[in-house]
Order: sequence, then structure tokens, then C-alpha cells
Amino acid sequence: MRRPLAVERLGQVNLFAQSLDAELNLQQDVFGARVLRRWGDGPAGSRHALVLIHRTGVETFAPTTPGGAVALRSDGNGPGWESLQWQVSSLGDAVTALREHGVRVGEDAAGRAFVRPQDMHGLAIGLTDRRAESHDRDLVDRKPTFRSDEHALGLVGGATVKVVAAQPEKAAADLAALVGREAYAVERRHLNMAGHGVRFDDHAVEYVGSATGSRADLAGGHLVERGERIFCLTFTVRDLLAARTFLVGRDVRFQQFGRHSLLLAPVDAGGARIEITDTD
Amino acid sequence: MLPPDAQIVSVDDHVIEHPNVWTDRLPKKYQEAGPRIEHRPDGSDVWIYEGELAGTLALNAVAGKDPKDFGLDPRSFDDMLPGCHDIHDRIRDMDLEGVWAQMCFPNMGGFAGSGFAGSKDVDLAAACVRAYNDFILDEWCAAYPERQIPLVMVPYWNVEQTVAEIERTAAKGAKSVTFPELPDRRDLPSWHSDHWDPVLAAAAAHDLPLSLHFGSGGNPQASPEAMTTNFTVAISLFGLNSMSATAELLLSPVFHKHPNLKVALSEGGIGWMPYMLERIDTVWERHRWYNEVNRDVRPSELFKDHVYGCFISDRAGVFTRHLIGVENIMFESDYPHSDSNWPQTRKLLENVMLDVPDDEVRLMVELNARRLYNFPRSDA
Repeated sequence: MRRPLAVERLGQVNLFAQSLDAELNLQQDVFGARVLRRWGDGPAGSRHALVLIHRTGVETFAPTTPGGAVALRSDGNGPGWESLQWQVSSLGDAVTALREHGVRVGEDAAGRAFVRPQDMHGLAIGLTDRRAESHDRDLVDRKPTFRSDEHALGLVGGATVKVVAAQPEKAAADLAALVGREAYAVERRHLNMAGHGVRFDDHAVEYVGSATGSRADLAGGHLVERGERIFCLTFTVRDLLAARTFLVGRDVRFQQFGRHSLLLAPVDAGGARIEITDTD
Repeated sequence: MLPPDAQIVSVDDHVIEHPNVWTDRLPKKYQEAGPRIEHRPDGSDVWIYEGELAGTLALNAVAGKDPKDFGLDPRSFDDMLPGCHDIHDRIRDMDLEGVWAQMCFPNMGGFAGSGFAGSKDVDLAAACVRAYNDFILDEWCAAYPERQIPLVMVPYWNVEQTVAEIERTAAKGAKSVTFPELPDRRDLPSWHSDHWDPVLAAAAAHDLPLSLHFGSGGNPQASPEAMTTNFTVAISLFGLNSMSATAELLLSPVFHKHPNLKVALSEGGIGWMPYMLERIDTVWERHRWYNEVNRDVRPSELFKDHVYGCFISDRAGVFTRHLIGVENIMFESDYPHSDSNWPQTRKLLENVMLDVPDDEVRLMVELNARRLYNFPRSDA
């Protein structure tokens, strides 16, 4: 019997941006992000910041050297959401589980394992059994701060990573089998999307595709232009109208789809699309 | 600059009719043939009228969208801004953009109801016009009477029915009538004929200005490419219709025969008006003697008493406002169409009005519209 991959929690969602400062400004000013850690990586030619947006970790990679590893990867894939990192209790067990499910897995010199997006229907996954330093979210007695938990956007719950896939239902079924959880299906008519996903304790992964097979709508266009890849990170808010008013006050551009969905323009979101919704 | 207490009154916005506008109001015998929404397997919603695909669901209702996505009109009621068709959401969207009151043109039947003009059943067409007007008067505007100016459509293809509908809706509180800017482009008699006299007399008698939305009299004259592969040309030229209407009206007998009639050139812009007025006056000075045109009143004088220009963002027009007449200019937001600046409407208008004296701004963004449409502040 195949063992499931036991995901302990979402470590962070990784984002490639052209400018770390611009991205951090957006994350802090609009989303009330708390910076947990900033550092540079000379060999990779990059600067990094790990922030907490409400309860979701986001790591931003920004190139500092044109020929550096991060710059080359960013040039190849374009800016935007790159991957997610799961924390597991045992990396060895995780690698074994992935291989038992027929998922190719790589390991780097730093002791991290990764799954390429082409092996997981567009979802690139990093795995680690180490916790990032300075994660004060791990402190049992940490008190919520205004900037994170009572921010004017009214963020609630965990984020959903939405991935455009050619076969969303099969992708979700494969992921559900891998992690030993139930898959769900949802119709998102306002975005003309069909979604199939898996809920974890602190986040969800949802594969989406055009509900009508269009190649020109949001999901279809993304599939044509960028292939199977993370489409957006979705945050839930308590009151969408209040969130909308807040965004207008901050001169943040958004597109509204139906009654429940705001998409922040990629240019304002550092090339990484962010959805704000008041419904899951 | 724009005073903080100025209540912006927008004189050109659009309602996307919800699916029950006609099914709730048409008599039983017209239920099948009247406008109804059909939800298609591809996820889109379409209007069906007299058994055929008809009208537009949400023509250009792309407010707030990235210009790169303007080519993608909403396909269904699910994916459009709810404020397009829900009056309560509309008021929230107006609050967000900083607009206090607005006047909405119809959508499904065209800006002046031309979609019903070619109906196989003329009685059904007239019933559809009445049903729309009952919707706009009794439902849309009645919910927020201080914030929605009732604009009604008429079956302009039938003068008698049009007069009757003006009488009926005036009694119910209508404030303006939408009408084709150039009726001859709809294969009907032009402004120069006597054909429209009963209609114009009725509108003037009830103090109902005609709101002439650009495009309601057809597309602008342009190349075949402009109307097919490169619509940027047509969009740029729609104001030509308003220019044509200005010349046709000012050099016709209309305002001489109907001294109380007023018209607004909706979405026509205003930057062109100083040149056009100068040109029309010059032509009138030199050529009136051998033409069938009034020889006593200068066209620009007629303009001041009868014509209102409307602008969304028109720096040239604001700069030359004294040549137009500050009291002849009104603001429009155009929600939810692609010219709209929603949700930054008020902020961008503030920028345009930075160097304009407060009293002139008040006239252009609020008071002229309140005067023309007989729509005073509730506390006035």
C-alpha cells in the first residue's frame, strides 16, 4: 500500500519579482505583511524576503545580478508565483511517499526535495523538514498584531493556491491520492472556471481550468500563454465591499468579477496575480 | 477645483437590464416572443427576442477591467459587476467612485431603443418599450429617487405612440427621453422635416430634454476596416455623430419651432464645440441668404439656449469652456463602459478641474444637470 505524503503545513508560497522593494511595499502597505526575514544570496544573484500575510508565508525572490540563477529563471518563466513549499516532519518519508506515487522528486545539496511543475500538473513543490528561522508564527503565545490579523482588508483563514491545469479534475485527484485527502469540486462561474482542489489544514491547492474549454478566458488564456502554472494566490476577506473601498483608497487597481472576486492587476501585484474573495 | 461638497451628477451611464425586466412586465401573450435570457451550454447568457438572438447582454460593460481585457465583454450575469444590473450594488459602486447621482441609458434594446425598431410585431415592440420604462421608473429609479434620474425610451418609429409614451411616462416622473441623434440615419425623416413636431412639442411641454447618445443614430461614417478589424477608428469618430447632430439641429427649424426644447449630446465630448460653433456661425453669416435656414438668430445663440455638451475626460473642452458656455456643459461617468474611469472617477475629475474656479466646477459637475433635468437636491 502506498503511503500518503504527510504535509505538516504550508511553509510559504514563492514569488519571483523584478524588484524586492516594490513587492515588499505592496505586501506591507496593502496586505499588512510582516517581514520575518530578509537576506541576500550572493551565489544565486538574488535578494529575498520572507513575509507573513495574515497566516500565509510568502517568499519573494528578486534578482540582483543579470546572469544570476534567479535572474535566468525569472527571465525564462517571467515574474509571478513560482512554487509552494510544504513542511513535512520527515523529508526521507516524504521522498519515499512521492516515489511510491510515481512522482519524480529531486533533492538538492542543501537537503531540500522538490517536485517539478511538469510532474504535478503545473504545481512546483519544495519540501523541507526544517522550519525557517525567525518564524514567530511558531510561538505558541504570539499575540495577533494589527498589521497581520486585524488589517483593514479583513483577511481571514488560509490562502488558496490556484493552479491552471489542462485536466483540473485529474490533477486534483492525483494530488488527493498523494496527500491522502479528499478532493473537492467547485464551479466558479464568475471566472468561467471549473475548480478541483484539495484542502489542507492551513491552505488549499485548487486546480482550475476554463469551464467551457475556452482558450481566451482567464484560465484558458493563462494556459495558452504560460502553460500549466500557478495562476493566482487567493486570500479570503470578511467583507469584500470594505476591502474594495480600502483598495481604492490605496490606488490599487483591481478587476471585479461578479459579486465575490477581485483580481489585483499583475502589474500592481509584481506580476503575481492575487485574488481577493469573500467566499471559498 | 472640485469642491468636496459638490455632488457629482453624471448624465450618461448605462443599466444592463436584468433577466426579468420584460418577463415580469409583458402581458402573457408576449411572454414567449418578448426579450428573455437564455443560458447557453458554453456558459454565456444571451438575449432572445421574437425567437432570435437579439440585443447585447453587456455591451462594453468592462468598467474596472484592464484595457487589455476590454475586448472581452462579460459573457454572463455571473461574471459582470453586479452593479451593472442590481440597483443596490450600483449605488455601492457609485459611492466607491464618488458619484452622487446618475442617469442611465438602456442597453439590450440599444441606447435609444433602436433594437425594437425592426420588430416583426410592432405592438410587441411598443409593449417592450413600455415595460422597460416601467422598470426604469418603478424599480431602478424608485429605489433611490435622489440618486437616479429617470430616462425613458420611446417607440420613435411611430410618432403617435411616441407622444403617448411621453405623456404616460411624464406623468410617472420621467426626466428625459433618449432619442436617436440623427433620425435620418435610421431611415426616418430628418430634423429638418415636420415629422417630429408632435414629439418635440410633447417633450417640450413636459419639460423633458432629449438625451441624444452618440451612436444612437447609427455608426459614424468611416472606412470598412473601422467597422470591422480596427474599431479604434470608429470609437474615435463616434463624436462625429454629435457634431453632425449639432449642425443639423442648429441649422434646422427645430429650436425655432420649439423654443422650450433642450437637447443633451450624451458622450459626444465637448472639445470640438468651440470650433464647430465658430464654423456654423461663419457658414450661417455667409450662406443663409440662399438656403432654407432661419436668417435672424445666430446658431451659437440657439446653442446657448438649447444644447448641452457632455464630457467624461476632455481637457480641451474644459480649457475652452468659456467659448462653449460653462452653463452648457455637464459631466458623465459612463459606468460601466470602457470610457469610464470607475472606480477613480472623482479623483480623476479632481485632476481635470484643478485650475477651474469652484463655482464653474459646481455648474459643470452638478448644477447644470440638476437644472436641465429638473432634479434638485432633496434639501434644496
